[in-house]
Amino acid sequence: MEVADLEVRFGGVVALAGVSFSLISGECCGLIGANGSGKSTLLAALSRLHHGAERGDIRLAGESCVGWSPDRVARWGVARTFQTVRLVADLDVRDNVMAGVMPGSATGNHADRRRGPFAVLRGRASDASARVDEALQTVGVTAQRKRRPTELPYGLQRRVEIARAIVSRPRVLLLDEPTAGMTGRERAELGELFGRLAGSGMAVLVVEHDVRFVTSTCDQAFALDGGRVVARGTPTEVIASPEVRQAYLGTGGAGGAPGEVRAPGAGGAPGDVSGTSSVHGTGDAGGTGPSRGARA
Amino acid sequence: MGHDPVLLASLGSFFQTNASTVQTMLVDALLAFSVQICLRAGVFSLGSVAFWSLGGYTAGIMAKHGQPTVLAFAVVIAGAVVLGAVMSVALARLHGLYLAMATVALDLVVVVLITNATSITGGAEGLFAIPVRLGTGWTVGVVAVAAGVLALTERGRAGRVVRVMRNDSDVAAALGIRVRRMERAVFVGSAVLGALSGACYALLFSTIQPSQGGFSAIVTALTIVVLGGMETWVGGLVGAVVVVGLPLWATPISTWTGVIYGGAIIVVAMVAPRGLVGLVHDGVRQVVTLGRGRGRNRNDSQDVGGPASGDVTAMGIPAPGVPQGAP
Amino acid sequence: MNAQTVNQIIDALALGSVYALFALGLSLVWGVLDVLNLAQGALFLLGPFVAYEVARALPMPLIAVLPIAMVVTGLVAVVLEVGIFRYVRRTVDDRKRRELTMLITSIGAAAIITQVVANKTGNTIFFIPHQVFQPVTYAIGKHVRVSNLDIILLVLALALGVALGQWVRRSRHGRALRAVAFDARRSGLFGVSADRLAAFTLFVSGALAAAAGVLFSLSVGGIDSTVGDSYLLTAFAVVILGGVGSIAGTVIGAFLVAGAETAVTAAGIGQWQNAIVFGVILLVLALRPEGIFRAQRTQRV
Repeated sequence: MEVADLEVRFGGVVALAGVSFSLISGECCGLIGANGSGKSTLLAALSRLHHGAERGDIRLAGESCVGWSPDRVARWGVARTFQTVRLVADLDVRDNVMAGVMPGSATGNHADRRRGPFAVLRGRASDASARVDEALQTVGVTAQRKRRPTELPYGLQRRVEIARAIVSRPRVLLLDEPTAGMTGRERAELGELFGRLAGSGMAVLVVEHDVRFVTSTCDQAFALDGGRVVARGTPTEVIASPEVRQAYLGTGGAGGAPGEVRAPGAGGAPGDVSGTSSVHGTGDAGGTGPSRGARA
Repeated sequence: MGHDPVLLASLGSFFQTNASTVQTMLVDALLAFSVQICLRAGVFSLGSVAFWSLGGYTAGIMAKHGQPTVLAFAVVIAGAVVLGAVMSVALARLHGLYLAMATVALDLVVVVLITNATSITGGAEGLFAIPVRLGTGWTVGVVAVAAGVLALTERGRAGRVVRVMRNDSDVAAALGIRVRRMERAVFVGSAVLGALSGACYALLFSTIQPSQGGFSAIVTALTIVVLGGMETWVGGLVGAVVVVGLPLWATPISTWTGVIYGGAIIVVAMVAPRGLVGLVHDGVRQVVTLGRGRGRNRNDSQDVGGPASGDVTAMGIPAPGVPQGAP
Repeated sequence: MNAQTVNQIIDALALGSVYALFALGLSLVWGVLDVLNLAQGALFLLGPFVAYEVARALPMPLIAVLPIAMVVTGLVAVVLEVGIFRYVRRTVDDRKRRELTMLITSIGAAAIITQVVANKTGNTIFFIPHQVFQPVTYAIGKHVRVSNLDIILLVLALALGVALGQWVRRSRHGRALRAVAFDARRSGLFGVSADRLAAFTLFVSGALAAAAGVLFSLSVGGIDSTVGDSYLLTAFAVVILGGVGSIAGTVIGAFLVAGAETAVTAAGIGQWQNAIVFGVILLVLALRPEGIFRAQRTQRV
């Protein structure tokens, strides 16, 4: 997935200005920024779920998806979670995840999915069912599969939403503050999970307030402030950049405590970070799977 | 299976003496299905009544001109598909209350059109002496087929898709569901069911008037759906039986049907949003849960998409973001 | 301009005044409270019914009967808010479901009111007694005629429209009202209880509907219980044209719709006027769902 010079405005307000980056399959990319910096707008634009005027281009494997409907983008293989959990209250956990199974994607390969009026019937139920169980197991909510989402603690609801997003084995996974309101141990578990997902070949984008989480989880990162990309590079570099420190300290986002900004062992000199270098400019810094480098 | 001859005989005599009541119930159940499938999918359309009138008049006029019943039904269905598709495109940008208002306006304007097209429709007096072409049996068949189709959309993947759409169309789109296309399909399906209901009415009762399609018909259809419950076709059927049957068994209230129905709509919508079927379902569920101790390991089938799964959140919990008395 | 045209313009202004009074309430309640109150047509019917009952019991002039009808109808609307809408607002947290439930309950309320009026009036046309109001027609020049009712209607519609507009713009309650329209939680910032505000909004809408109904009933002679339904369609067109929640837009929209209808009637195709009204609704909805005169406000999706 490549984003080029994306601009989104609502009325006279510019929510995003000249944002460019790419996501690479097999890599986990972090996105940090204060409240109102345009993170959620960016995710909405990537999943085509927004209502503002826009300029620029978004490409999926080289093909522009700007004119696409949100469901088409989703069927291509862009899955997402939401900032506030949006599960269906009158379906149980398992059915919620089941709702994420797309007909025709049963092979897990979106590119050669079979289409046609009977795609619903052809996607075999047992296969879908197995994949739902697998997704639930991946996020660790197997025990509660028959409960209703509202009966679960918030952290588990988030995991269910992640399961729903990954059950169709998307090529790009967009996560909007997946660890908000979670304990340190849960965060660590999720961080490890995202690493595994990226390792399985997905391109993962994590919107996060917690910079420490980004440094420990992500291979790459970039920071938004006022709708612009103010820093990019490895997480350590991004966090160390003066723009990010200034943005966090200046506008006082939720992760605005100075202590959080100072990444453990931030080695990269601020000067290394140039605003124009691409996110993947530093290559396979994180070093995960063999599938890296294939452009999503 | 009821092989008891006495039971069969008494059922038979019941149907004979109450044939027109049973037929009205069936026709109204079809209309209720038409309203249900829209509301269930989160499409606020009340346009069923317009299609009821159009379907009824089309079938009635064709029957009066001696056309065969099958052809009349084919024309009614084809017409509903075409007009439903056109309307769904025209109304594509509308959601929520705007769509509700536009479709109520459609209902009201169809009444005006039919009333004014006197030469074709008989004007305000309506159509009379339509040859009776249907019996209870055929109508049961139509309702059964419609209920079968509805049942298919209530379970499995279709049931889940519909629920996700109603709850949150953004999420539905993010899950790859073709929301626009589904909404259009729902609208067309609703149009066909509404038109079928009207056609059955005209060919059963040999008469139809424009005033039957106005605001009062919206009230009746909604009463049925709200009373019975909009989650399943069973709700539509139960609602139709209750709403049509009630004034019959309690004649003194028949002059106050507006008050009774209106009151029933309000009370049920407020305290039992899933209708009678929902209440019964909850009751059964509670008994089952009690019977099985904690009920944690209920051995439900995998796709409980169908009959009204409980909705804990909708009622009883105060909404955080709504105007309430300032503390 | 010949006398006939002038008379038609006068008719259109009187009709537009009725539409404005009727539609203002619908627009206000929808814009502020997200309630599409389909009982508005029934309130339009209830007003003249109350006037009819009051005038039969006590011979009084219009100046006494009209306020009584307005207050009683307004209070019935408040009962809807306090008894139904408030409960729904508190118990249903999903917005779609909340809107649907309110719509459904308002249809129930409409059915109740309409049936009561129909039964009490024997399902026929009823007339507000003559001692309440004597229509007088003044001739201007040779052919132009204006009735005192036309003047009352126009003055009342414009006065109430302006008063409402000023109230919304200037007063503390009005500002809170606009805040509620934007975000229910913010009304607290103005120190005004959202509950009381909602009740007051319903009262205003009921009173306006009653005023429209009483004056309309006087101008056409008599009405029956189906009148509310047919004018609901017109009110929809007005609200859509003017933009939901916009007071000036609603008033302008009312006069536009009335003008169009009068023109259609003058052209001799009066029986199609509702079809034309519906065409207007569809066209505006398709091209500009936020209304023609709607001030820019981010549309809530």
